[in-house]
Amino acid sequence: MKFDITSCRTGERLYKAVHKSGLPVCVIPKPGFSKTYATIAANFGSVDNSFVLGGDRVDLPDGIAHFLEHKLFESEEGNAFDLYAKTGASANAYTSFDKTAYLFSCTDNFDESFKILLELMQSPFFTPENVEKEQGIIGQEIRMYDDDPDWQSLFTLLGIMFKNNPVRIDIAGTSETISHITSDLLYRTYYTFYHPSNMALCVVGDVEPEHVFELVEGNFKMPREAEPVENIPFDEPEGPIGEYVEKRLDVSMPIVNIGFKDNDGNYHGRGFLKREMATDILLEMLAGKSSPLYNDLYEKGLITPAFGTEYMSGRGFGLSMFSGPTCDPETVKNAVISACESLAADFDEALFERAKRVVYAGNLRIFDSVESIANAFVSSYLNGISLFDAVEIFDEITADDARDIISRHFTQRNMAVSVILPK
Amino acid sequence: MLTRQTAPSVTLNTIKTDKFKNAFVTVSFLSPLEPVRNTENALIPRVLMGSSEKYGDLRRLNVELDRLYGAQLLPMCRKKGETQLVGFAMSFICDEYALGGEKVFDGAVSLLGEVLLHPKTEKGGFDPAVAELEKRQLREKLQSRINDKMRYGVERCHEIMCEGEPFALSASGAEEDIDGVTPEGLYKRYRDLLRTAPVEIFYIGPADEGEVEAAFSRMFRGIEREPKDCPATTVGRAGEIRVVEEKMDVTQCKLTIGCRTGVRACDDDYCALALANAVFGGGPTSKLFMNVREKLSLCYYASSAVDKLKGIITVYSGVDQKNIDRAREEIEAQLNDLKAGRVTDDEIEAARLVIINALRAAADSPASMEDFALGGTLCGKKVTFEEQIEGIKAVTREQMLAAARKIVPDTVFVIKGEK
Repeated sequence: MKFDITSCRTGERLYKAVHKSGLPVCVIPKPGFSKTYATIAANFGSVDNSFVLGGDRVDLPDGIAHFLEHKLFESEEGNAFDLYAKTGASANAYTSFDKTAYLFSCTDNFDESFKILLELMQSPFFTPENVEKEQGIIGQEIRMYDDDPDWQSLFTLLGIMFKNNPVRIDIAGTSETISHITSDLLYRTYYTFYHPSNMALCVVGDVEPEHVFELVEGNFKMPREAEPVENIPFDEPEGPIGEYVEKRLDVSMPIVNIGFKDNDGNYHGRGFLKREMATDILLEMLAGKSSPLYNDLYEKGLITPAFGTEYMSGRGFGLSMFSGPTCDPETVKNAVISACESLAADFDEALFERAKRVVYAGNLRIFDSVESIANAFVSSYLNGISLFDAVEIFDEITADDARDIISRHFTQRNMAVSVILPK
Repeated sequence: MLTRQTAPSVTLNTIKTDKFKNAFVTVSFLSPLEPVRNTENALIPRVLMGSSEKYGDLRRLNVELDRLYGAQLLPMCRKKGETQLVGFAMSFICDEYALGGEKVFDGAVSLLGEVLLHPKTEKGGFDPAVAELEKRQLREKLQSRINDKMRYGVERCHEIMCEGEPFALSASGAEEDIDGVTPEGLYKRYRDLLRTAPVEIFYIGPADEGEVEAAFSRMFRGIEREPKDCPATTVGRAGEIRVVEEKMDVTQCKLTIGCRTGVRACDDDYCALALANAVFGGGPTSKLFMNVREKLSLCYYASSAVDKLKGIITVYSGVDQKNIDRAREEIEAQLNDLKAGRVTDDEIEAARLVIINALRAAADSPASMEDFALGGTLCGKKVTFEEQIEGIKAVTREQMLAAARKIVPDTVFVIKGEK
């Protein structure tokens, strides 16, 4: 396989090749690290459950991407965990709103584990019996999340933030929706979305890139062709569908989640990446550990060190969140609103520079772990960007970029609040 | 790892490495776990964050930290066996990544020294407003432990199982003791820690060992020390199985089983016990995963973990209320199978690889390296990752089974739904 090499200011180098099937393969060597981490991801997640295929509209049950993730661990020879048991690798998989990733990390026997990972992706084996068994396991996974306050805080907010985008539905679906999943449906879904040009492979660790490319060449045989899927736009209105929602759970004190919907519509490519990082800087300015908002509320005992912010995005959606436990959600909400208003009215450039440093260091932290590099890389790659670009683009972000976002994004018409209340 | 005494019982452990872009520092004061004292200890690092003489309040300290490229300074209270470790963890970018060529190492270590050793005082105590605020924060933190049901189940199981032993106490303190804490009493406890507690410092990063040693020697210079060793962790014995249930408004029940083993990291058969635990419930090759989850489809997770300083193994799982008894029976049946030797060589070898992989992988994480080294110090038997791996490799089937037979269920703790 022919490959290109790109260097990053952080000292890492990316070796990139495209397999003849169309599968992009990225290797980032980390000499001196004990672990090697490999991940292969499909550009298919929980929001991708309605589309047009061969002229017909297809609607899949909620939670099917996650169900498929569980079931792809099984092949005719048995459970993938049994195969990894012989190599000592630690294997796992996860499903997000718009991606499904399979991974392992190992400190020995990389070649064998890597072949297992590639084989796994190419040998679906679904039977009515193994599907039924998984319904019990996933049913318990869903119930575990039903009792998880942070997860419930997020999905309670997403439920009033979005009208049509399936981001509002739990990634794993519900016990009811997964009861409609059959082995036939899993096969159809697999063949629709798991094809090489809709996937990306990334290996990070103390490895020889050429050797990884050879292993892919010898072991990846997925056919190139697949019937193209036509996405159906989510037709998401601007702004949230409600202002406030609450839910009761067995928690010690309320958990507030204040969200601002991003109506930009573009969550892909370089332009988006710059906007995303500028938003991260803004969130740091608004509510970072040295911000007036954080310290005013902390000194009054209204928030705990768990109070934090996040910008989250995926296919067709984006939002910023301020969340944490508090005895007084209303006061925290009003404080967030007035912090946004004061920053819009009086943009402090010294604060911008300080926040930019903090975000810069946060991004640098990604490079200290093979897992975070590979996960961030695969995810950004499927979003049409490279993690290395992020390092360069970050430098270009100016106070004006941030100022522009504050007045458009952090306004009350984009805002919705969810509160988890003690029972 | 280079180990040096920089003051009486102040030990500096340095791992020089260029692997990471962030340096990692911890300072831990070692204090025996005791009632009331554990709550005061838990408050001290939190109060120190807001009490620095040089930086003033927490707000100004946070500004200083952000100027140092968002250096993270976290108050930390941990439990290792029956010792409470009180102090801070810090991480900050390595100097070569500072965009303006700043000496982040110098700035960060000097800030840490200021926070740790130079608090402002008022009438022989800490600032009462800071102490009150942090008492409130700690109370809320302790109350919030019900939010994470899995972790709460494990903590409650340990409290019930080890009632009367120091291990039952939490490193985060006890809610009922918070009200009694005064700014003066807290300051006295702090002075006492400075004088008597053995101190373990770790630096993992690219700076030269000499430079690190000089910085920390300077930090502790002039501090009067009369160090007192912490007592060794006690080993309890299992009695009749106790079953305790607690009702909470949950959709999934949590089943936790605490087992005594009598084997600690300082004992010769510790590696055999670690292997037995991995065969039993350590990861996807284990008996618990393969049977309770994969065969019976009763749960999403069923695992077991060793506390190597206390010598206990804890099994934890989340199941439907109607399946609690079935899950418990299956867990006990799997343990009995293991004890009876109904275990294949493949299962043993898979478990061995799981542990070896985890030990090797720990070298990629500064926090794991520190945790492992501290564990060795506290159990009085320092080993390297390589030595531990050799130990695991050398365990025979018979030794593993002998250790497995020491696993005795002691306490079952169940969180049940209200309906």
